[in-house]
Amino acid sequence: MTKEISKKFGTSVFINCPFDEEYKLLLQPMLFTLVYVGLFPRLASERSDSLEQRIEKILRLIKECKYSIHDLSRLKSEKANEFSRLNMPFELGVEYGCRRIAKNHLRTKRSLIFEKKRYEVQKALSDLNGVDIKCHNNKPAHTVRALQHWLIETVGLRNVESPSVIWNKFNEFDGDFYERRRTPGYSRSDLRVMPVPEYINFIKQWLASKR
Amino acid sequence: MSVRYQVIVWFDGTWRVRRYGAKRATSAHPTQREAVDKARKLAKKDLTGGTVVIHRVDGTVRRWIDYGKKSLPSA
Repeated sequence: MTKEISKKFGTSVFINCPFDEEYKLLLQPMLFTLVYVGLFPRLASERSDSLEQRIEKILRLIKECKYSIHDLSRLKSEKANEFSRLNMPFELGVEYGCRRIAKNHLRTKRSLIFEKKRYEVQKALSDLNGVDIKCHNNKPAHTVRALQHWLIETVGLRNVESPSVIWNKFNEFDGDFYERRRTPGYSRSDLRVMPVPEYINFIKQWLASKR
Repeated sequence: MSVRYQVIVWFDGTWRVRRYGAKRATSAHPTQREAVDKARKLAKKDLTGGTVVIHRVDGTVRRWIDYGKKSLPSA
C-alpha cells in the first residue's frame, strides 16, 4: 500500500445505515462529528453511477475504509406488514468476513455497531452476543455522544472535544447552513434532499471558516 | 453583527438557550416553549437586533426570528 492510500484508508469511515428521510436526523450529526474530528465519511449514496452494482460499490467502500459504522436500529419493523431492513446486517456480515479472512491491512479494520434500545440487536441477531454495541436511543445528541466515545476508545483519537461542544457546534452549523442556503433560493425541500457529498463539503467549508 | 440566541435540545431532554459561540448555555428549561420565550425576551432586549433560531430535536432549524436593529431613543 502506498503512503497516500494508507493515509486515506486510515482516515475513512464507511457508514452503513438506512437512507430514509427519518434517518437523516441521526445521519447529519454523525457526518458532522466525523468531519469535525478530521475523518472522511463514505456512504453508498456518495455517487450514483446507474451502471454500477450496489453490492460492488459497498465491497469497494469496505476495502477502502479502515473504520465502519453499522446502524442496526431498523432491524425491527414498526408497523404491521412492514419489512425489517436487512441491508445493514448483511453489510455488517460482509465487513466481519473481510476482517476475519483478510491477511493484509484489512485485518486492522475497526467497527462501531449502533442499536436503538439496549439489547435489541441481541434478540434479533444472537450471533452478535458478546460484542460491544452502542445505543443511540434514536436521538441525534445521543448519537454524537456515543460516536465521540467510540472515537476515543476504538479509533484512538486524543484531545477530542466533548460531546456537548460538538453538539453545540453542530447546532451552530445548522443555523448557519439554514441562513446561508435560504439566501440563494434553496427551498426547504432542496435542503432536505441535498446530496451527501454536497452536505459534507458544506460542513468542511464551515469548519474551515471557523478555524 | 446581531446577537443570535439558539434554542436547542440537550442530552437530558431539556431545552437550552445558548448565545451563538458561547461555551455554556444561558438557561435550561423543561419545555421548548419556555426556552423560546426566554430567548425571545433576550433577543428583543438586544439593541443590535437579536435573532432567535429555534432548532428541532434533530438539530435542524425550525424557525428563524429576526428582531431587527433598535433605534436609540432621541435625546
